[in-house]
Amino acid sequence: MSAESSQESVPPRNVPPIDRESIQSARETLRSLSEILTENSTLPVGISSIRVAGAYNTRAGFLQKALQSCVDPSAKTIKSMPLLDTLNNIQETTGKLMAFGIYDSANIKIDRASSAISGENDLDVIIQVKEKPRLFFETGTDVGNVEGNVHANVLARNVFGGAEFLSGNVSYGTRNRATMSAKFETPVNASPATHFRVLGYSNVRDNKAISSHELITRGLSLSLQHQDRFRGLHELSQNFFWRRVTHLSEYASPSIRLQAGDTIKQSLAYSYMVDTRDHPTLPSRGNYVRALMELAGLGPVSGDARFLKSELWHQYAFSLNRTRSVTLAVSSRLGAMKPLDESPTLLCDRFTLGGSTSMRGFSEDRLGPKDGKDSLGGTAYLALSTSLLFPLPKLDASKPFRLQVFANAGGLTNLDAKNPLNTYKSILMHPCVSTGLGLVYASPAARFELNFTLPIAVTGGDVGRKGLQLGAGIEFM
Amino acid sequence: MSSLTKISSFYRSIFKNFPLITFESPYPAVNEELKTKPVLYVSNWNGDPTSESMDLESLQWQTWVKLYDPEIILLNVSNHASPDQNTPFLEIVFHKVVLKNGLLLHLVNDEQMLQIIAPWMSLLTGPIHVALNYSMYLDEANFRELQNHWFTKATWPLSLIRTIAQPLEKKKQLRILTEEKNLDADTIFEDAARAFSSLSDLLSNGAYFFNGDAPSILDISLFSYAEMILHLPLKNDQLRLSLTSNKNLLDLANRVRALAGYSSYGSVLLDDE
Repeated sequence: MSAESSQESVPPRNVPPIDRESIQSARETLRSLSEILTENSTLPVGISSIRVAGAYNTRAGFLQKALQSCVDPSAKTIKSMPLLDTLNNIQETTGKLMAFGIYDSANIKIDRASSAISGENDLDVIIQVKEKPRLFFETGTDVGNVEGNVHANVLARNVFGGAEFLSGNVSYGTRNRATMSAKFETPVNASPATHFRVLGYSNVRDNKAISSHELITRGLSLSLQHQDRFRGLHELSQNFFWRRVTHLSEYASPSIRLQAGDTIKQSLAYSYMVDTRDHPTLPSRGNYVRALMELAGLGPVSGDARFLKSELWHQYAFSLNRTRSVTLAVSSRLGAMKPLDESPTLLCDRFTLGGSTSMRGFSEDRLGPKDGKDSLGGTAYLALSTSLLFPLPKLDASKPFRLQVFANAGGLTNLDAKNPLNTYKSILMHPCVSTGLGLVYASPAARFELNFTLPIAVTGGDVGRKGLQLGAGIEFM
Repeated sequence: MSSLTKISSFYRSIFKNFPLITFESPYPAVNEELKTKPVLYVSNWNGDPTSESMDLESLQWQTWVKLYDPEIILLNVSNHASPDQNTPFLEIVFHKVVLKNGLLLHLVNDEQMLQIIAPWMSLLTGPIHVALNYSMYLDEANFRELQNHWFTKATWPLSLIRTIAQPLEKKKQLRILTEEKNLDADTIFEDAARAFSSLSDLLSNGAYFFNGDAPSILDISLFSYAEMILHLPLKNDQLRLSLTSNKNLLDLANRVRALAGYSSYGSVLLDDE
């Protein structure tokens, strides 16, 4: 919840009630306009000029490039196209300007071309934009995956007039004790679909309950992000991080003590994500796919971490009734990691599994190999989940509350590099399984769950949770 | 109320059966030996039993353990492995940890002897230690040499921190300390020379201090200081000259080295001879 209170919409006062005649008159006007457009949809029109008004802080060169892919404002006249296509083109161009995130609104004004050299059917187009405030400051509380935090964000929009964003964030949380980041993002070639990003990052994460240590991470990430025509998001990033395993508790195991100290990770990562779900936290239909590959340790600065890591997440949601209030979601996650040389993988690079967002019915990040009470993480995991959600009795289905019945299965172990399929076979043959039921609340920012869980099957060393488990986060299985 | 109790105990009896299946642990046992024996965690050591740690106190306790507590396992770790960020430290079985400052009392465990040697130990931890730190950090020529050849190697750019940032921080702290106590180089090295001389007089013609048959903690402590002083790549080696001018102290160091079975620093010592 943001400290900036969002004002609930209040009906305006002193506005005369709208009568039936006015509504009828408006409908007729719209119908006439629609008829005119339909009759003239194939009329060839050209665009004599296109102008963006109100963009006081945006560079002219940037706007020219942004408009160029749809219309070429430098040409004397845009080649004539059917009216409908021209209107769609203008709409698309306006949508592209809005996609930069620097404008609050954009209104299109079309008029007959005023230039003496323009044709009879040519048009002048003005896109009237209203720029968002350039500086934005926010403080508040937030929910991450299984933790809460207080944060302060500062954002500078359109820093150099080309839709660049410069942001800073400080947050203090229950698990991520202190996080600071500074990010600079700019569109590439005036395209809202492609961004170049530079991120500086510092984080102190409290892992004492899981593995008797604190993890300090500081580093830099350069990334190139592109959204394709199919709503897929590609990201290629070069990461450079210094990590320190420190502040061990007195009861830390030898495995954790041997991993204490400083390490460097230099990696190249590629991720692909496509999300066609209708709602990120309470989907009733759609697919979510995320694939990640990371190669660490190759290059002029090799660092201490040398591995190849890959992960694949998938969720499919579909409705079981016409009103889409009863939904079934099926999710899976798979990960594998192989060191590039003989040295063992580092603790801070390994996978973890367990908790309300990954394996309900098991404690946070506590599945897999252990040394004493310390979780060591693993190099291969598989997790499967199915959840049936239905509305609460006597509560309107449009409210974001659901009852859910779920079942999870999976495991975390070390990859047998010579026979990787055997690793997953062994997880499937001896999985950790849990089931339960609970209450779900899906806000726009996060999903909250209160579940009663029962472990059905566990492997030795993994402890299931019987009873209530609270979860809060963004990415649930 | 009794019906509520009956219902809750009924559900409890059902839930007691969960999980229904428990598979055998597929994870191999990790570090089993380390859970049954005490472990001394040292730093700057390459793990070779015949090689010495390059950290002063780690070398001291490494040597003690080799001579008197061989069942204690030695492991090399970063100082971040310690609860108080200092190495060496000892982990006794059942997760009890003895930090660096407590090792003397815990491992030596002879209060009478500790009382006797205390004033002599203070010569090592006092003027000789100050002179060693001065030689390493406040002598500019020596400091540059150590940055290139001594401070812990690490992956770039971690090496920049280890060879530049951390030593510079230590240098700053030492400078403040010496200025506070109005110490200059001449005074520091004179005090160290006197300390070596006193120790040499105490040792006299004996094999070990106090005519012992075997090295005490004082002998081992002197050995660890001697090894550092002899093997640091110092351009200005005033401290080394103070040590080597007391031949019996050098002989003592050789004796302890041979007894502990180390072989890594021999070549430098032969050059000195």
